[in-house]
Amino acid sequence: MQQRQPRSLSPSDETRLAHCYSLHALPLLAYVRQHTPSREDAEDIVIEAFIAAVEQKEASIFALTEREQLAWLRRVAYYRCVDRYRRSARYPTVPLEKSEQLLFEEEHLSPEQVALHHEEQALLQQRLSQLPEHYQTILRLRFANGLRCSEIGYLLQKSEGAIRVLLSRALNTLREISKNQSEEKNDERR
Amino acid sequence: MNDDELFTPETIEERIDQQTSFPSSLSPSPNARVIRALQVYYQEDQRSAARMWERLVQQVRTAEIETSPGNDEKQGTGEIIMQQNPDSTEIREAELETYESVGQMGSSATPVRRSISRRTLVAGIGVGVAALGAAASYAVFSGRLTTSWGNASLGAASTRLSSTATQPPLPTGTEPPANGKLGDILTSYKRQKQLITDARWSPDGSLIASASYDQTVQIWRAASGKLLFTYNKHTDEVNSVDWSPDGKLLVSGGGNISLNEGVHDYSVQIWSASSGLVRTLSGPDDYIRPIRWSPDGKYIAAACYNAKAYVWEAAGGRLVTTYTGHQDSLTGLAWSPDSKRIVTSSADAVVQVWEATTGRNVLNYNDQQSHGLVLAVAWSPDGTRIASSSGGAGSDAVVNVWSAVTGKTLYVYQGHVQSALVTFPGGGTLGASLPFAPAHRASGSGIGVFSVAWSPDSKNVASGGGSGDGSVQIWNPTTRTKVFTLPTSNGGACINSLAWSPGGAHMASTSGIITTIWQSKA
Repeated sequence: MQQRQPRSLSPSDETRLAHCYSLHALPLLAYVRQHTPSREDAEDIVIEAFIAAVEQKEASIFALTEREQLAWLRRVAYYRCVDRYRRSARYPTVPLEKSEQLLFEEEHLSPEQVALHHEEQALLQQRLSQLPEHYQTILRLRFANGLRCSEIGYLLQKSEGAIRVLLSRALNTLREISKNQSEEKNDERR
Repeated sequence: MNDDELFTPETIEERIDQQTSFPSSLSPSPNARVIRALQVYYQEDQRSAARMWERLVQQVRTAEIETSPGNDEKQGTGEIIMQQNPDSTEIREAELETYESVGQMGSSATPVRRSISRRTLVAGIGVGVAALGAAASYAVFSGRLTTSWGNASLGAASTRLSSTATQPPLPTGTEPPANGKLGDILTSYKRQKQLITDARWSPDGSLIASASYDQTVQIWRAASGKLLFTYNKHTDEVNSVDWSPDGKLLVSGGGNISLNEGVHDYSVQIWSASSGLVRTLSGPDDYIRPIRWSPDGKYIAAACYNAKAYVWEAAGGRLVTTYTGHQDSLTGLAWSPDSKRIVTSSADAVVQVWEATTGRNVLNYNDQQSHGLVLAVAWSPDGTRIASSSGGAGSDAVVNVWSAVTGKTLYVYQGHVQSALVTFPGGGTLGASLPFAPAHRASGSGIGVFSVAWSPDSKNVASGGGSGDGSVQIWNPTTRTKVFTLPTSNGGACINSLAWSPGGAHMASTSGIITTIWQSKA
């Protein structure tokens, strides 16, 4: 096993790591998911990026600005993605029996439904990643954080009306995509 | 509302609400499908975040143990905190600031700090203005964020993390500067879900500890309302909290009145933000309020609904005195500045002064009996005078100021609303803010003066009215003049607790679920 650098974190470092994680984990995950086939892979890579940040001894990542931190993490994650592509040819990522168990435990779904669900989620992920970044931000604030349009507007210094317009546009775009897809599927069946 | 139509800006919120509350399972429309898919997608993201955090913590700790074999202590305490982090609120706010910067909306290319506008907003809420409008209420908004991070979405990981969390010590600081004018509201804090029973300043004047019926004590910055720590080891309502004079420890306790069914937690707990529960003090078998640390830091005293008062040694936890001089439930308690004596008020309408370590009765003050129940009591910082307030059904809302040496009445203040006919607006939402003092619970009336506090220079007294009044009045007992009235900001809800900041420039007053910090000096 590769010898790791000692990582004795002081309490303040622990707090900083928690802070840093809370800031960047989700944006980083969204980014990594564009480059990885599965959520599990993406999670692995995000963790690796944060561990790399902790191991960074010379220049602490915590000293960087928030933007620089994200940029740094993204770069590390990107190289990990590339690395994983290379290795995946030689190593299976998850043992099949284990993954089957995980799926049943977590989703209580049949394999078909799981596959369908994954396909839908993958498509959504793909479409989301094609949306401009500020649309993604609004969608995240609305659906992940449960904020109202007025609250999102306040945060982003936009009027509530502007947020409503952007949010409905984003949803209409996604809706069109999913509509086209189901039509395509129907065509295929015919 | 036709489900096949495109989303429109006018109805977008309603559409989303509709789909998230009543998801249509049969042949969902394209709109419903999109919303449902997004919901699932982001929920999975939140679950991922929790899973990854757990693994990250595990890996960091494993590596520490592997590479530093002699470091046994780390194994037990090296838990990294996310959920119950003292800066957890900061994290959420900072997270949003990042969204602002990453979003790159409009012309603002750099993250914009918004502390000023937030503070303005908070102040706005304090005077009841900002319920509607461009920005939703800060408290609601933060509450929603807390929810989205706080419970189901983070699931088991967060529970595990918070239950064994360790904390860095609370930051020290200074009292907020008094830049405004008398009565200016600095912070209006409403993160606690139920009635706030007590709010106390840290000795350095930078933090507030507030106790609530929601079974928590929260520590937050007086200047910004930023939550730093939540203490949640109580399993019953928390009625009182106090800081040790060195600011390192806190003591809190409470419990519900034993007339109610159920098991109650009457423990008095000494704790710190960094190490959690330090010691539990035993003795009381009923509702406790208030609990006060002696000014010299050696003792802790608590007044109990069972008509007794208890004094413990802070260091060893030994019960020193159980005072049994009162005939009825206790309502108030205060230390003399030299930490030798204690004054207690009671529903028996006699205010008694006694020696803390021996329990010997020194003085009985009977002049208030004609006014009804005595609800609160405060000893002047110069040690010469005591202020005691009264109220209850059919009684007067007055504050008596009397000599702590002779027991002679010096002044009776009658500036608070006296009539029982004052209407109590609001109904449902204000239910939680009904006054709670035992005397009041027994009598069912909100008339009275429920809190009283001396300014640090002993010149002025602040008194807080009962429900229907809800004002805080500052007056000078020597010149017998009123200095200032802070009108009610919460529909006339009772002022349950009042505390001057150590420097005397600010006041913390609690009313319903709101703790307000405002400038108390011109």
